[in-house]
Amino acid sequence: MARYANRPVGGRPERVGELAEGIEHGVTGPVASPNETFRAAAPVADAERGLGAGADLLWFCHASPEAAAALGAHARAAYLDNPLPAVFKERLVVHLARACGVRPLAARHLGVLVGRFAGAGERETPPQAATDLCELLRRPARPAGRALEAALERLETRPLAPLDALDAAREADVFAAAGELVGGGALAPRARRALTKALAAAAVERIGLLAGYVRAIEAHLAGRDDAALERDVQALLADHVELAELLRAAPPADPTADAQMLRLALDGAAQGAWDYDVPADRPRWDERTFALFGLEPSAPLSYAHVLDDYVHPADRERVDRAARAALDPAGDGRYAVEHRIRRADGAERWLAVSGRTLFEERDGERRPVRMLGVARDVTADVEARGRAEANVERLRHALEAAAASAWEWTPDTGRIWWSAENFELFGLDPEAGVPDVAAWLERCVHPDDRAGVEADVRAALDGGDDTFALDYRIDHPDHGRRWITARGQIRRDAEGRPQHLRGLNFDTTASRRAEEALGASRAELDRQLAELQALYAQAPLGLGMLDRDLRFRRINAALAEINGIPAADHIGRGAWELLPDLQTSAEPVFRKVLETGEAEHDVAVRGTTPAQPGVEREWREHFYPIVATSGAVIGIGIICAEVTAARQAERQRELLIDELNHRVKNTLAVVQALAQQTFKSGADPEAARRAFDQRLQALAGAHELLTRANWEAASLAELVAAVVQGASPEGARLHAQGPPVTIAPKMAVTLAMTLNELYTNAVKYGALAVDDGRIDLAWSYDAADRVTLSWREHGGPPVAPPARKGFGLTMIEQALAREFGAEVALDFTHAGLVCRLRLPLDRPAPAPS
Amino acid sequence: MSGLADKRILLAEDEFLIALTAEDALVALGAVVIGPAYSLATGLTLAAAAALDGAVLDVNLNGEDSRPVAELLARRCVPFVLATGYDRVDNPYAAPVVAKPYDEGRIDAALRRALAGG
Repeated sequence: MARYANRPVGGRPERVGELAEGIEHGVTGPVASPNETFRAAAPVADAERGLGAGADLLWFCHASPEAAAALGAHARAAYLDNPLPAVFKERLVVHLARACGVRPLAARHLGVLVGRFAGAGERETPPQAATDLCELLRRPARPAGRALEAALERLETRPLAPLDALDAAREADVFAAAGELVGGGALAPRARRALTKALAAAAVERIGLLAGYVRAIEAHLAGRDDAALERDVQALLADHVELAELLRAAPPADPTADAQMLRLALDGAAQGAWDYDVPADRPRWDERTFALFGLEPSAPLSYAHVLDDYVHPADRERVDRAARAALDPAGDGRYAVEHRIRRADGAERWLAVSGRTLFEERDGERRPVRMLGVARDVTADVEARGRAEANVERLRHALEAAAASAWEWTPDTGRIWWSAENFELFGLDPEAGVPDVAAWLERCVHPDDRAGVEADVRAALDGGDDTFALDYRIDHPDHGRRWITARGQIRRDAEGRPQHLRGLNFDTTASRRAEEALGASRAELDRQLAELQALYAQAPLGLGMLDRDLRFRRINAALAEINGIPAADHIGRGAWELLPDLQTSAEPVFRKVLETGEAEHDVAVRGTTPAQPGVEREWREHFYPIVATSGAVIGIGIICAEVTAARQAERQRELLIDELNHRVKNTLAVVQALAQQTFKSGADPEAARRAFDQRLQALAGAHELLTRANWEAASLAELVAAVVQGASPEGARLHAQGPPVTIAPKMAVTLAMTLNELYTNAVKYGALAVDDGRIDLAWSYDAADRVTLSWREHGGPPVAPPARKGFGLTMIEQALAREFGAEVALDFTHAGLVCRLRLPLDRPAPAPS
Repeated sequence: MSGLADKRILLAEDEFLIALTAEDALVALGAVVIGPAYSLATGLTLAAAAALDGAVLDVNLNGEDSRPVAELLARRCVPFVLATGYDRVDNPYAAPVVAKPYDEGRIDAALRRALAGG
């Protein structure tokens, strides 16, 4: 933007408005490509950018935007894009403008040379010293005679330095030749040849282009005096009085310059020139104009002839009206019409024709004498414009459909163009016009977002991207807080500087709200899902999901482990393919859940899985329907608890209780039998009671010992200690000795009862009945590895076999013998009772070390 | 007098004291006690070979199931009662069951029911 800091601000807003309207309707001029609808304004914008204040010159020339655009296009080709060295080019324009008497043009380019105005395109023109410029202005604008010939001779004979390194004298020669050329003087053909000799053909062509441009400006500005100079040019001249005076001293343009001049000048501009002698009704056309109409240069011409024979009938009245208006002495003499013609060959073409009438004051009366102008074939432009209009129309529909509004912003000029929808979008009054960027920020963008928007815009402009995006909030007067999204493209020049930003605005409030809501609920969903997934993974229960075809869709580690198949191998595979053994018990339940849509709880499933082949296992399972929002059952959820171990434990417990019950009842039966045997009729009740007590104690002692050993086995030594040695004080006189022997429970009980009878007998009648008596109880493994016990009483009274066998003796003799096949030998010796027991107990195999 | 007079009753019972007492009871009822068999092997021998009118079988003989004896008896059409301390008992022949501890009266009733054919 700094490059244009010296540009008069404000410009011509009413024309900018026209231009914006023109853009909107796609009628502003040539279109670079039908696909680039929004570039419809490119030539004007380019001209404006390139010419800087020069753009005003274009506006100055014509009221109509299309004529300005046409001239803009010409300016681009002949001046802006002309690759002549910058200083040379500017100086040549000044010189040629002087040669043609176009003082405003000369003054403006002097402004460029002193560094006051921007030069052609992006190229900087180094400021020139006023003295150099004075030298330039002091040269004859149109040298003639000997001076001109000498200059041409030098060009013809001496090689030239490059154009950007010419000294003043050599430059003067080139300018003299160019001036002759642009002026169409007698030596113009020779001047062209001399230049061609001195310069590359391309350079001559470029000089010709520039000359044509100056003549075109001349044609447009013809008759304008210095008073009509733009303000900035007036200021320039006021600041540089010496330049202003030298400029004024230049000879005025010859208004009756031959049409030949124009033809030469316009060669480079692809425009035809025409010159209409009003009083004589004699149009004079150059060759190019004849060519535009498809005519031979010899064709007869008159106003009526042209109008009736070549102007398209549909445009004839419009053209006639415009021409008459231009010839009206009360008017400004301007003529600019775009119309169709019918060429001599019948082809229909579009021409853009512009011109200006020269009036003459005579006898206080103002009369039109001449009209000078140019014509250009714009058929391609018009057609492109038609396509552009169609594109614009399509775009409008697209914008409406997308609730989008289009805009274009030129950062250098600060100008914004809006499509009409933007006013509604921002809630602005269309009457108030399009705000500039600062006003837009202030009035539209939410205060909290302004800095961000500015930063984003700055970043987009400074960055290298071709696209950009903005998101910001606005407070709409009717609709409240809204979110706006702008998306667009940045068009940059060759150096990457942004030229235009074009894009669309969208009101994205609804989608943003939906997005926010969605984002919030998605976050919540994510959280819940994570929770569920953790639960799923960690639960000590088997969890899974089947689809309607009973294929696994999901399974957790616990269920995969139960099944004995990796979790991943389940997915997508059928339940019975994986677990054929469970089909019988589970499939009917699955079908029921799918059909009824109701859960089945506490289903006992038995079978085997690959986890433990051959092992019948049991599970408690819950099957629940998975119901879609539509209400359809889409699958079955499985909750599976392995109950094999629990069931086994339960059965174990039942068995234990059963066994305990059995043992208790068996023991009661034993007690009952003991009682019956002890209390048989005839026994002394008191003695029987004591005996019964004694027998119960022996039984209880054995049970206690076995209970301590989990009813697995009893140690013989411990059994002896518990049942005999601890039974009464006399027990201390029993000496027990033997290797460790363990005895199974049932035998242990019977042995305990047997030992009790032996002991009771000893206490009553045997060794323990006297103070000195004692008993040796010894056991060992015999040769056959059977346990033999020997009960040997010493020191007691003499004993003899009893006359009557009581229960005690029966017990000793028969219990072990009957139950276990033990061998029992009782020996009533004089020294005391000896009892030998040979038990069916094998010596245990040596424990493996 | 008891219906068991002179009936030859096999007694299979692995507990000496219980067998002794049961024997006393059966004798008191007039029966002739065959056995007692204290083991499965003896029980099978007697059940196969002895002349029998009935039997009292402990279901567990020294850790062994007495069912083979019951099968043998059933094949010979010898009625029997099962004596047991267990609550549940596998009883495919629908024999009368006498729960331990039992007394003379109960064994009498059960045996007579068995001998009467159920």
